[in-house]
Amino acid sequence: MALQVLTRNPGRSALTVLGLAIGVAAFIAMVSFGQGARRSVLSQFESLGANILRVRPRASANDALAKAPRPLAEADVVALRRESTALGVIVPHVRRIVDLSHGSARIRTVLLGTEPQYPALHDWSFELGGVFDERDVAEGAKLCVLGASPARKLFGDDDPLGATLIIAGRFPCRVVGVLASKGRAMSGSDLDDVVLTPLRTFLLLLGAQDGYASIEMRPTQPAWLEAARSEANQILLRTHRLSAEEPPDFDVVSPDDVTRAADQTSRILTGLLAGIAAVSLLVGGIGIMNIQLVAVAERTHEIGIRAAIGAAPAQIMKQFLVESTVLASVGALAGMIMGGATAQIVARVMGWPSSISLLTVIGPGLFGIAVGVVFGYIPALRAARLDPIQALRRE
Amino acid sequence: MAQVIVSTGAAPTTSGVQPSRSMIEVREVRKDYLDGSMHVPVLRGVDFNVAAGEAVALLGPSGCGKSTLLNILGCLDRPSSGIYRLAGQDVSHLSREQEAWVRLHHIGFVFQSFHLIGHATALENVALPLYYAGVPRKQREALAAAILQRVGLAGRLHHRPNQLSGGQRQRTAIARACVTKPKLLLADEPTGALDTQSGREVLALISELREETGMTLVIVTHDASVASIAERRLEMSDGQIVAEHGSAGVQHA
Repeated sequence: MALQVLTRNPGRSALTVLGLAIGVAAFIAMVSFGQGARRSVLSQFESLGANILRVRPRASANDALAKAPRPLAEADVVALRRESTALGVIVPHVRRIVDLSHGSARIRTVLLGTEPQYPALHDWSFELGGVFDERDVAEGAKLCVLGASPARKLFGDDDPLGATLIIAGRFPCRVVGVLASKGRAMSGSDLDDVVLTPLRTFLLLLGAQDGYASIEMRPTQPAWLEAARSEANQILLRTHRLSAEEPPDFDVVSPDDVTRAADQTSRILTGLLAGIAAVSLLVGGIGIMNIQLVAVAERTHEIGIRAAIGAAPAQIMKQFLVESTVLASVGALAGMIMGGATAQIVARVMGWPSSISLLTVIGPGLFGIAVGVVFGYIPALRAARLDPIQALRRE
Repeated sequence: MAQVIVSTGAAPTTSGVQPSRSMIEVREVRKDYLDGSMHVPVLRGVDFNVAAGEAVALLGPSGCGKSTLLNILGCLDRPSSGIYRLAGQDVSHLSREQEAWVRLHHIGFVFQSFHLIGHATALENVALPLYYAGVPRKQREALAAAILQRVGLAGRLHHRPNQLSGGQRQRTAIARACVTKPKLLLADEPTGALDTQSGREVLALISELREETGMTLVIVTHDASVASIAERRLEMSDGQIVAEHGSAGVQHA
């Protein structure tokens, strides 16, 4: 009997159902969009390596009377290596955007001058060849390791190993390795757009007025991250001749800090998207209430008949609640299919891991049904409260 | 107040309502309607009894209050004051849920304009009270089909009301009223919308069913020939019973 509600007025039912379906679909798509974005952001920061501390120069002090910030220099690295007990690998790097050419091919990319441990510290793997060694760094050997993007742009399908590139139009450099592709970041920036060269080579060829871009460090044991952080802080305060009261001209950050901030941001984003979607669900619910109010008005006479032959108010109420629940369930089901498909497509287009879980699809679906029941309540109550005699008179 | 109780020997049997020789006891029942700030009296103190198994006709001009009285007897309406006992139980102060229960289990209604559900078949219409009584589908369809056969509509089970003649519709409505085996059948101008021949057949059917089941009948009409199927006739005027004719003689209220 309840299913008659769908067939008796198919056009109207379809429109009502569509309203809720769109609400549920939007909810699912928005939540999975937000979650996908969040996971993408997180995985991006996780790719930095979870157990890495990074020392960054603080751009400039706001206070004019403060000492001029000291760039990160070799002395810092030497002090860290000599004094620290909690830090294992310590790798500085310098960074500049340069032109790179091979034959007629010419690109602009990020050149990092660093040490051989850099790729391992970041868990980067090699497509071809490997990294330069300590002796290459000491000798300032003109070698480089290409990220996947420069390799593809400069060499296409050719083998880049052993080829010689020209850096900044002047300095020839031999390719000893090619990194495996890491794809794109959430922001769309190319994680493969990088070229590594020995630190000393970089300094000899290009210099480094601003010092190191950062010093990256791994504690000897994962549990020592915080100990290592405070140790690094103390050592650097000393090398930078700063007292504990002065504002430091550097930061020691862990990816945890960044991840936490990014996580919070994307949580807010997800919440916001879900909020917008919830509004559209609400509109769908109001659609159901509207159509059920019309149904009660149209069927007043029938309700009177049912009451006269002995239907209890609770039974009449149940009938209309069942009808709105059926409408909402059909809408929610359609919305779950639509929303699930949309989320899949978005995930595929954006290259995110699919974030459709049972919870993200069934949750909004159940919520959609609940909306139908809640908004069906008022019309159902109105039907149950009709006076049978008055209702019978209405034809 | 005069009371006339005609015993026919048929006793109410259903549990939940105390057995009584009187099916209906109406005491000093008044009904006012609020029209703006004015209380308009429709029933001005009605007293009468109907014995179990008896058939009583309520006669009177339109507006005399007989339909209001019938609604009160059918637990569709409540008296403003006074007492209505159905099979010995006071039903004038029940909750809406309780009223519905009494209607469902003890009372059958037949209306002038049939009041069938238009989009449902004859079978579905007749089975509907059983649905509300919680009878399983197969059983209620069997019971509905059986009583439709009894009223002569065996071939019309799956017809909708608009595919039936007026007489057939009223037979369907009678089947629906009787399918729960009520103690009390209330009929409000049951022949009012029918031609003479169909009306006569419907009245004959009601009489037969009453004899078969021993149910009590109250029939509202303004037509003396319709009233003739009742053993007793109560004449109403201006919200009161003004005369009584029938097997127990004549009483004045």
